[in-house]
Amino acid sequence: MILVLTIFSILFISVELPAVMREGGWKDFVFSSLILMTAVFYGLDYLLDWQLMPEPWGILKRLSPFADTFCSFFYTGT
Amino acid sequence: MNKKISTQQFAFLLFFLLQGSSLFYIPEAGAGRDAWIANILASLLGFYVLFAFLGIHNKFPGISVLRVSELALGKAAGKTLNLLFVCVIFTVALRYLHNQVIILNIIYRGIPDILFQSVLILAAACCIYKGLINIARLAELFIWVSVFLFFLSFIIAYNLMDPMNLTPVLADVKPVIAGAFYAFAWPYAELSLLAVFLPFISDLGEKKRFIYYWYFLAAIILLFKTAISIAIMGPEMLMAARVPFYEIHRLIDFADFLRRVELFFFFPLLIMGFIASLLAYKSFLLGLKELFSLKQFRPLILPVGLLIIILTNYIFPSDLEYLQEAEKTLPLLTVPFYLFYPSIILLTSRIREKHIRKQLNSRSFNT
Repeated sequence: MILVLTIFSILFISVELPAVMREGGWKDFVFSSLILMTAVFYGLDYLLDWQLMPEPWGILKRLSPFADTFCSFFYTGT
Repeated sequence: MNKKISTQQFAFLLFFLLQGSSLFYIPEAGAGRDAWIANILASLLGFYVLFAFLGIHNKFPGISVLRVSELALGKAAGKTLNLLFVCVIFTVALRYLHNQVIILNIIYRGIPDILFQSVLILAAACCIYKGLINIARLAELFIWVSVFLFFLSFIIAYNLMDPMNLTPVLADVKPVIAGAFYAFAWPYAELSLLAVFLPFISDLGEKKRFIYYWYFLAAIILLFKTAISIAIMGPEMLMAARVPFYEIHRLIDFADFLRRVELFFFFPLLIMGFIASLLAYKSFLLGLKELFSLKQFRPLILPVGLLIIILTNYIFPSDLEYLQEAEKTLPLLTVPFYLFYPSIILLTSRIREKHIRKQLNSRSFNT
């Protein structure tokens, strides 16, 4: 995972930074960098088990009992 | 360079999205022996979604559905709905990547998921850098091979079928409703993510029927896939199987000399799955660009690719969690949205058509 994070970060800097310096569009670059940083933080959080980042799928965990009820009602009729 | 695609190429992309996304899976398997009926109902609902998006685009050709949404509903409501739409596209991209890795793991055992995910995302990023027209050409190259292989796979599976597994028909209606609900969520309603590509079609007006033809061909193939799988495996085995369409092909042997027939179908079907993932990835990029009014999506390609890889691992650390959350629970949120989003935009854009045209004209005059 560390390797993947590093490769993508290096690729992003080496491909996009020269393009931004040539053609402008810093707003897009900053926005993209924020997404990259979010991905890196989530990657490190997952890898090192920090559990610092917000749970992106939290709402589904809460809805899970409803899904079970839905399936048991329609599929098994109980 | 011409960046637009033809209606026919768009129709091929739609076909690949519907086939490639569900690939070897049968989401409506819970409906048991009536899963094929659930499939028909789901395809009709999917047709409505397609019809609604094409209706919106017909009214305002060349304008993105996200822009129409903002103009029709107002900035705050439009942006909120668009944000939800982009989030839904993102969940689709995560799911497609996970599903592809599950299939790859069956063939290439022992290779870590992250390696498959990275290779798939980097290959998809490369295609996105090349442009939509090249993705459409890739679909054009593979379309007839794929259709031929689908029908060939149905023909060679014919001997294994037991039609008794399909009877009695409609013994219970409730599982059919739930089956239709899940089949609509995946793959039919997911054609919504192609809505962001509509402004890139050059000749949509007179050739719109191609899109409907290929939609119905895709629906017929999905119907055959479901019916054949039930007829071969039976409803109980079908529900227990993780990748039923792949597993039925493992049962096929020609005498003693031709075995592992499933591998023959594996490569083209994998390409279909790859195109589906690619479309979800690109659709999310286009959605983000529109939502945050960015000049271009090019700088987003690699960061978003990395985010898809990382969150796929973060959210679905195991296939068991994926089955519970993404396949069972997620449709409870996405199905109402898939129906509501195009309907509300279609309705309000018709009511406020004059106002939207006025705004579009004043903006084009100012620029």
